[in-house]
Amino acid sequence: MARLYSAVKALSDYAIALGINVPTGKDSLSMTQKYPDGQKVVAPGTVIVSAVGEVSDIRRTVRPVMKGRLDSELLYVDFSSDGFELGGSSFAQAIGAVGQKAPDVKSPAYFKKAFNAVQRLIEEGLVMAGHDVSAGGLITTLLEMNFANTEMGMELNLKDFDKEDFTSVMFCEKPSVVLQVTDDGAAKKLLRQLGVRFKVLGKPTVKRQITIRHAGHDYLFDIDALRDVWYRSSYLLDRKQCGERKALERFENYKKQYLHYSFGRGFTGKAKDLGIVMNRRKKSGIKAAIIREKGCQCDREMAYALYLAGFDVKDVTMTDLATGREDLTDVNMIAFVGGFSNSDVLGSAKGWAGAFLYNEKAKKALDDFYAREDTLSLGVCNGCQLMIELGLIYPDHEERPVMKHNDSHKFESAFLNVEIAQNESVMLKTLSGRRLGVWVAHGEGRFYFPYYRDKYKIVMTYGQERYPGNPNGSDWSVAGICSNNGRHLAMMPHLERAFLPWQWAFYPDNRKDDEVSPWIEAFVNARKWVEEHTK
Amino acid sequence: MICFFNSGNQRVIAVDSVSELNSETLSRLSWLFGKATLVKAKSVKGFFVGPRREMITPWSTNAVEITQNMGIQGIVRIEEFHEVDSQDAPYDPMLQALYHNLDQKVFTVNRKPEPLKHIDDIAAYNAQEGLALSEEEIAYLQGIEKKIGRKLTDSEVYGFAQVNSEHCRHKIFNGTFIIDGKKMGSTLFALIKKTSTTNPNRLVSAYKDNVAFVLGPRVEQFAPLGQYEASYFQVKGIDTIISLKAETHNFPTTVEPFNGAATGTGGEIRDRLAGGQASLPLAGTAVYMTSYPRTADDRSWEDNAEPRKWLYQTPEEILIKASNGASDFGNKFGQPLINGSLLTFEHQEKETLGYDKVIMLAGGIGFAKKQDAKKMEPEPGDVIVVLGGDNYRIGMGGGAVSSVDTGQYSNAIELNAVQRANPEMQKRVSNVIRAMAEKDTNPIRSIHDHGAGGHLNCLSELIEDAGGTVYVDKLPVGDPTLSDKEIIGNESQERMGLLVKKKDLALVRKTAERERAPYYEVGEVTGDERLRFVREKGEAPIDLAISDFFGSAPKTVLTDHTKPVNFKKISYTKRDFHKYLNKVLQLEAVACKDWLTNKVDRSVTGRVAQQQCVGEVQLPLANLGISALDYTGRRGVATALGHAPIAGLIDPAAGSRLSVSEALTNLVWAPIEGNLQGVSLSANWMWPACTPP
Repeated sequence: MARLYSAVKALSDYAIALGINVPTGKDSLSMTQKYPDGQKVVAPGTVIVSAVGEVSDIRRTVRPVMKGRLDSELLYVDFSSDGFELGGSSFAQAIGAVGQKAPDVKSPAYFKKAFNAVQRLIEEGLVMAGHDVSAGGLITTLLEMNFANTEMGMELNLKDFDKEDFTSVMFCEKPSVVLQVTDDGAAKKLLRQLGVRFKVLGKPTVKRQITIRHAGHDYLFDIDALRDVWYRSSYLLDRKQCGERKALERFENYKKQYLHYSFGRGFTGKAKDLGIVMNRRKKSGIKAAIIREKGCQCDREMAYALYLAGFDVKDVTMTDLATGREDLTDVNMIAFVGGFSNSDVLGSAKGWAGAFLYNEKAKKALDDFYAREDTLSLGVCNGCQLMIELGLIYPDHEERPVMKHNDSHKFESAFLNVEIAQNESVMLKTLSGRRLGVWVAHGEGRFYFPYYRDKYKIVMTYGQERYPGNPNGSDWSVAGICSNNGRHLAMMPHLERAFLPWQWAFYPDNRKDDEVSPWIEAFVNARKWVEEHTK
Repeated sequence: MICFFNSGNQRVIAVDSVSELNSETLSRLSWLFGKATLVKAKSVKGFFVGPRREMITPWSTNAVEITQNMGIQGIVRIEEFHEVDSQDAPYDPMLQALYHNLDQKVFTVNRKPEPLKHIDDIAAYNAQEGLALSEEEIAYLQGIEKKIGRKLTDSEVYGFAQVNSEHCRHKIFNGTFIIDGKKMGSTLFALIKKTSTTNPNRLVSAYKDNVAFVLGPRVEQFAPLGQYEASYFQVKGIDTIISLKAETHNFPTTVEPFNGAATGTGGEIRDRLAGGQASLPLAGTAVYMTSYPRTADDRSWEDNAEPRKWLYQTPEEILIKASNGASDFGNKFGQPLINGSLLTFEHQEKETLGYDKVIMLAGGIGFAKKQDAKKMEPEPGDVIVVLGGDNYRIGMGGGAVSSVDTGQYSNAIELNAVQRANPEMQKRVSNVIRAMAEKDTNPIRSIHDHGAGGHLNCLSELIEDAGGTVYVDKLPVGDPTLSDKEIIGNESQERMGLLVKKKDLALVRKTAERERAPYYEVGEVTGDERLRFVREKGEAPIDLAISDFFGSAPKTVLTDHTKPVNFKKISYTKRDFHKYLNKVLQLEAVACKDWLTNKVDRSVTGRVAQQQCVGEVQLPLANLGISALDYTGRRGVATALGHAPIAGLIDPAAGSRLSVSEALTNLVWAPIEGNLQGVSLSANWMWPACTPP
């Protein structure tokens, strides 16, 4: 109790000194487990802090991935003004100790100054990459800055820390950060102006390793080998959720299946070049509808992608269709959106399909729509599963493809590569041959095809044949198919979550000024096609 | 009558209907069940495991609704049974039962609801039901009995216990501390509040509501014009406020990790729906802390303490299942999970330390319109509306039981307190709330979620001090064997309570019908300062003055002495640096968390600007999570986490400062409006309060 009081008091005092507030929180004050034999296991008193803030420009976010820029250097900024204490660190934990002295923040005023200085550097665009020092200490921070890239390393000289104990410097978890900045001195100058101390750690190097020189000793770290060490605990737990085979496949492949793109020469990333207006308020008169069943939840992003491409977009639910309030006669494009319709009870999209097949009004609306020559349709994820279940892509096939459970038997969430095949899909034709990045998020995405490949118009494949780059084990790595006339498209990946550059989990560095990603072209193509066919 | 379908793989589907089904219906059902074959007989022989007969599953609710959509009328219930080898087959007694032969009585329940009871001996009732009432509280209730001249009902005592439990009322945070013989000047809560009075900065609402709100930017709302029918999307500028919330669900997650974490996630999302006059969730976060998972035998740091004979599940199972549960809820609800943290720890010196009682924290960010920041005062005539699922015997006593150490009550009581999740139901309810919040004038006057304490807590919060009447007969009941006490107090999930003016009811109802969100008008605000749950016939289960019901304010006094800690020194040799590094990199707190991120949706909404994975290799290394507020690609909300409990063992004050600092050095990587001054925090305390340290 005395400890709780002192912890709460310290948090309050510290927040007040930093000039910030703690407007919410909760307590759970019974963190002990009692065993029948009388043993008691007590949890350490724990406070979990969640911070929130409004971001003034989401595109300026700095990531902990070192850029392959030789004209840059790495700076260390200590926010704590404390020594390199090891008490309570992961290092202590790893050797079975807690220790006697934990690091602390000596000056809240200086912490605030350092925080705002880094903010200023980010606002001025002076930080290429950055990572905080926390669990695992400085060495972990440095390694991690090289884990998500594929090339280069660091050559560091800790001459400023020569008097310190190397192990302490590397594993201490006192609040501090590492910044990658250009080596023209602009960042350093600004830091000095703002009164914030920094130490130069060194520079990126073309060698795939980290070398650290300290007090006359050289230390060498093999980035890729240590990345596997770091990954191993994940693999060990992964075995328990997707089985030994898939977990091992993932462990072996994660590093080989890195993202790379081919956007095609024509793509400028500018809205104007695609004939779209970013902040359109006026109606275009070209109409599309999104169709959703209860449990669908990808409605808004799909609607916006269509809207941005120039459609007026109608929100239509299955209750609208089943009651006959809505019959789709005034729209030329429909998009079945993703989600978990009916919680996937009785199979993904099964209940949704039933609502179309066995409800007279809904069925008529659907049949009438597909009987028209001036219509397009798109189904993504759960919408794709629905189109397959309803046989909307190849109505003449006696046996239909089936969407099966992922071969990992779990939900797969990833940003991965897809390749767009040479194709005649209205939406994807102009993207033929491109290799793009896109989100997948599904549990039942494995295409099973009863016929040979030539019976299908395969428009999109995963960029990798093997798991997890092929997230579900689809036949021929298929991610999407279209109808023979090119007008109806069903795909598992969420292009509607990737039509803007900042939605991508990794967007090419040299395309910072893109307003839209290549995926918007698919929606624009659809709008143009409707425009032409409704003249 | 009940007919059975054999759907292969030793699965039998039982369909309960009001009358005999015709052949067209049977063929539709056969299609729905994946070309299942109808069993000609009236029963099926063998041993089966299936849902408990008195509890209609969410699966059944969905399946029945599917049949309705397919134009099939008269189906009451559909459940799935798995054939097993013998009556010794394992099953989950909380959810399932073992059946010998499936017959026409498979859904027949013989149990009758327990009648309303008057409690003769409150102390004995407290012990028997595990209500965790203190002596002062029992004395208080006895005082009420004298004052009103009658014995209290079971609903009243039970309800009082739920509403006043530590879980809901934070007794320790409002208690007086005497440390080393000296009375401390402030309560813990006062210390936390002081941060907001000293630095109000961008605060809009704090402590009073289900969430905290801070000022947000002007953004574009993209929403259909009239959401009670199909309509076109429209872009409109709105002024926003940003919500922040974090909740723990430690006790249920320890006992039943999947549902514990799933309902923790769901409950926290409902909090963010219930801010002001309605607010909308954007993205979630999750933190897990357990003892060592012991995933391999070459992990020497895990040998620091002997593994126990785990009470419920192993730490490894809890890690997998809890994260599955939290992920599943968000995946199905459609909320991306964009930031998180993980810590495993055990240590043995003088005593055994560890997260055997685990920590599962669900947090998140969201937004609301600025004009909806504050709830309206309840006015007589305001109608109480409940949106969402039915009542089941679920989570009875969650609030009270979770406020004591795990292992203290019998497993039956502890298991009874665990809830189950139905994210799809919550999504429907959430769609209605979203539709109302997106209107120029929001018809929702006030909103609360159903959490600990069920209807009682939620609806009494809605009517505040004005008083109100709730008609128990109008509350939806999924399990016909529930007593009044259970109907009022159960913690079935996915329900929200609203206050709506009569004139606006039609709009809410029409929208709810379109979204298929169950909608019930269950009572009204009276203005007579009484809390009433009444029956059409018979005695009212609850009829008390609000001041009596909430009047107990026992002053908790906590006395303790500062005890020095002295953990042994860290000793190491420089020579072994690389060996140490290999170990450090494998601690769950440091190691790769791909196993968590590869199963959770990090992109739904299309507004995620930063989630866990970065770079060409897509590894979970990101410092913070960001959700955009609209699709224009500028303004967003960033969130980040921090904790330092092991450092806190040495020095709790330093632990607090390190926790705040870590959250901030994680958050610093996005440009924050107002820089550090633009940041607000949530602090969630998990403390073994009765047992030091």
